[in-house]
Amino acid sequence: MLDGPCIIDFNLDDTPSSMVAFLSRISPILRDMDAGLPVLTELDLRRCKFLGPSAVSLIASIHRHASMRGQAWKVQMPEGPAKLLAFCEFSGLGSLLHGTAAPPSEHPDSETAPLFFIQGPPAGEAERLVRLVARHTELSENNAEYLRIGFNEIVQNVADHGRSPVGCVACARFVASRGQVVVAIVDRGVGIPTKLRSSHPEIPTAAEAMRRVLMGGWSSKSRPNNAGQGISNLAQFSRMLRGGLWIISESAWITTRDGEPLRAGEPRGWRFAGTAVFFTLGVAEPLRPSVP
Amino acid sequence: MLIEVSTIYDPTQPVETIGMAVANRIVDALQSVPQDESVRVSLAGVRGAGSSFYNVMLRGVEKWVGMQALETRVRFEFDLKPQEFVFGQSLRALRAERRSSGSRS
Repeated sequence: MLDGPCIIDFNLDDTPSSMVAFLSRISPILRDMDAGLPVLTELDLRRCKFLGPSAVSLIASIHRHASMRGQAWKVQMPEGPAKLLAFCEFSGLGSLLHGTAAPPSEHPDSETAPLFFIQGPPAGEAERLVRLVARHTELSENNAEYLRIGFNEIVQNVADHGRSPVGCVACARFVASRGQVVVAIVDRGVGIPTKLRSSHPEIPTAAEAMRRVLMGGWSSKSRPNNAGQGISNLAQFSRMLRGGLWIISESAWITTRDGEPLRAGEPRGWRFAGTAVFFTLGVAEPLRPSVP
Repeated sequence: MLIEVSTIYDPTQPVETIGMAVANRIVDALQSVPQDESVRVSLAGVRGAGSSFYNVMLRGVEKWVGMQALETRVRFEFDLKPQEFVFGQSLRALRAERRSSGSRS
């Protein structure tokens, strides 16, 4: 445990680099958790000026897991700007951490699908994302279905392989300027490298396990419905809809470009027990500045 | 014969249950029509079905009638591109699995 808090003095903007930096910075908290300490190192977000669904889902998953294990944890929330304060409220992060009233989940102006928790396989929760986008733009039947299936593939994977004590923690945001929906799904169960390498011990590294999962056809076949297609299907959706996909699992991370693995790594100094999947799908036309 | 999967599909049910229910319906249909006739399976209106559903359904049919009958006597129809894409990936995975283990059809 550190003497002082983990201070986040940079923006958590849903990019792989910011999330990897975030996990590196909060490594003392992750270590406290793994060691079973009763009180975790404090997280200080007051200097952070931007938070996205990825950070919110990660923080919420840690918080819920710690609560379930009886571990106390204090989080200092951001102090501004106003847009970030609104996001903290409408994403449900404030109410989760401080026990305040939950935000309205379907406010007509809200660009956020607040945090939600799924235990077990998908059972229609993807409709929240469809309704989120449909509140702001015309959503085609095809794009709505890419969104539903992509979300369900990840939640099904967690149900089949993850044994996550917190289930899935999900949050999403529609970014009208880009016409993209940003979706984060985090679990605290068995990670992809451990699970895949348990049935394919020839896979040399955690990063290589991540690469194979993205390519498709690699599965631990925990259940009869498994064929190793889920994550690669989502990667292809992100290619079709000018989006992206990146995943952190245990000590490895991977990003994609055009649906193919782009970069992968195994940074030293931190390990996230679980898997965090972040994806964007361009489900609507980006807004263009009007020409006078 | 036409099977409308949307009348069976329930997204709140486990994929194993619903995939096998559809597979059983297809197998029953194949056994009730002459050998030279096919069965149409419409996925129109089915929403949110991922690869797990198609994997269970395809394997359930293939187990009872074989790969050849699955590919020649069952005609799947879709109303959305994502359905067709995910179905195609699952069928491709099944074909690859059977090639590597020796076809039983």
